[in-house]
Amino acid sequence: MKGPIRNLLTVAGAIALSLSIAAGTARADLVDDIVQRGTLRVAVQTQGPPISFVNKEGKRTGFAVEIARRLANDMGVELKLMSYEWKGLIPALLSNKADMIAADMTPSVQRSLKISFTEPVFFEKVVAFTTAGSGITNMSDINAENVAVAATQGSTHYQIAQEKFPKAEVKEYAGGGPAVAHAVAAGRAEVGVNNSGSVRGFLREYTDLRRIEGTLRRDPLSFAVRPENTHMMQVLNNYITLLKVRGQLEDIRAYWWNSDAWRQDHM
Amino acid sequence: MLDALQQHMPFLLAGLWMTVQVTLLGICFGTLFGTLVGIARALGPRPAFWILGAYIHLWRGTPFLCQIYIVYFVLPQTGIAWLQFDSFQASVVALTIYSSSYIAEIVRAAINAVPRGQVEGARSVGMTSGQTLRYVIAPQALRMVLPPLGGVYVIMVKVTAVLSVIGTTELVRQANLVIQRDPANIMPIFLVVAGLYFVFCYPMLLLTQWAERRYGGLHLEA
Repeated sequence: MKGPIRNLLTVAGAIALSLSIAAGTARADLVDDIVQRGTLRVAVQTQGPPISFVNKEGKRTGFAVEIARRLANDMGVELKLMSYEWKGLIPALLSNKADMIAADMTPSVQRSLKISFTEPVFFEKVVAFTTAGSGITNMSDINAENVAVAATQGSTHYQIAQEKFPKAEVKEYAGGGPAVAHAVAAGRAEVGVNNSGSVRGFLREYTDLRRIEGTLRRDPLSFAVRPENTHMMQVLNNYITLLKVRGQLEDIRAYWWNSDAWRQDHM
Repeated sequence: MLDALQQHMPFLLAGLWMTVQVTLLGICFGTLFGTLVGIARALGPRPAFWILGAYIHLWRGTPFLCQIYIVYFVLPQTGIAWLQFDSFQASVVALTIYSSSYIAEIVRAAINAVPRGQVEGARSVGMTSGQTLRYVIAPQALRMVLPPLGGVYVIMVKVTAVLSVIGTTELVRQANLVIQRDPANIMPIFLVVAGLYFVFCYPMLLLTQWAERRYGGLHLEA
């Protein structure tokens, strides 16, 4: 190898090495990083009201988003919301695009092997809905061979539907809850599975949809961080405890989850 | 319904603007880069032909969705500082690579279609290889490049629709956000989205048709 080229390669190697070391040390404590840079980067899904959506003024809001906004505010940093599709959330966190995920994510065993979940921020009831004319009136009618069940792609709803209705055909839809609601309303599937809060919204938008009595499962929903960010995890858990004990979480839940007050403000 | 669409229009136009920015940057860089790769492949030494060929076939033979995942999620994990793209940068980079792989093949084919005898003739009257490229090959190759180039550009506009998985809020993503607030109007909203894509794509096709007329059609003489 010629002299100048070898030198060039040595220099390039040294630069690459120092860059990778710099990147490594910069992540020693994520919380310090967040405070120093003055922004909290939160990955959200924007899958639909009331959890995370863009309101009529073009502002991102919703149950999960407002908790993240409040957290950033109390930390004294700016909130940077990064919107991904459902399947992009965990990759975004793991590739250090975001500091945390604030979404309606169930801390399932498989996911918890990859990322660390906070204490539950809220709970969801997974329920089923159908059209008025489908002839399906209770949960046991769903588990039949000629029934198609719609659920969100890559979601725990999909797994629940497969578990509970092994005879039915379970279809996955990308595009969040609205895509599932539309699939049922358009006759692509007889039954849809989603959380009770979203389903209440669907029943309002599509007058021929009906909720099927009963609950398929009650699941906790948590925020998440990378496994190595233990300090960040403690900051979040501490924050959730504060919100709970002070009754603020209950207020947020009452507004977004158990009422339609947000609808007048945002839709 | 018209009231609703009027209310949604600013959001959809913001999405279109994002699509336009990403596409135009991607195809500008892609054309530049693809042309260089194409020239190097047609006129360069044999090893360049093989190495660049592997590059082209790798990108042409894999789905764009995989490529944007790699550019946005996988490359940053190398820890190398200049590979830490944000959503917009990653979108432009992925589109540049993807379009360049198609354009390189178009350029190479066009150069190879210029009869060998013309190159030999140019060299025998004393032109350098640079002059041969500039005055003999390029003017003829350009005419052959233009029609397929318009097609590639339009394809690039349409592949931007999957960029939402890496957080780029382009036209389809905006439409989906609007549909969350107004799910009952899913049909008219997507009709408007299709219309907006057409409004962007059709002028590009007209432009390449104009350029074809401007620089003449395919008249090759040996």
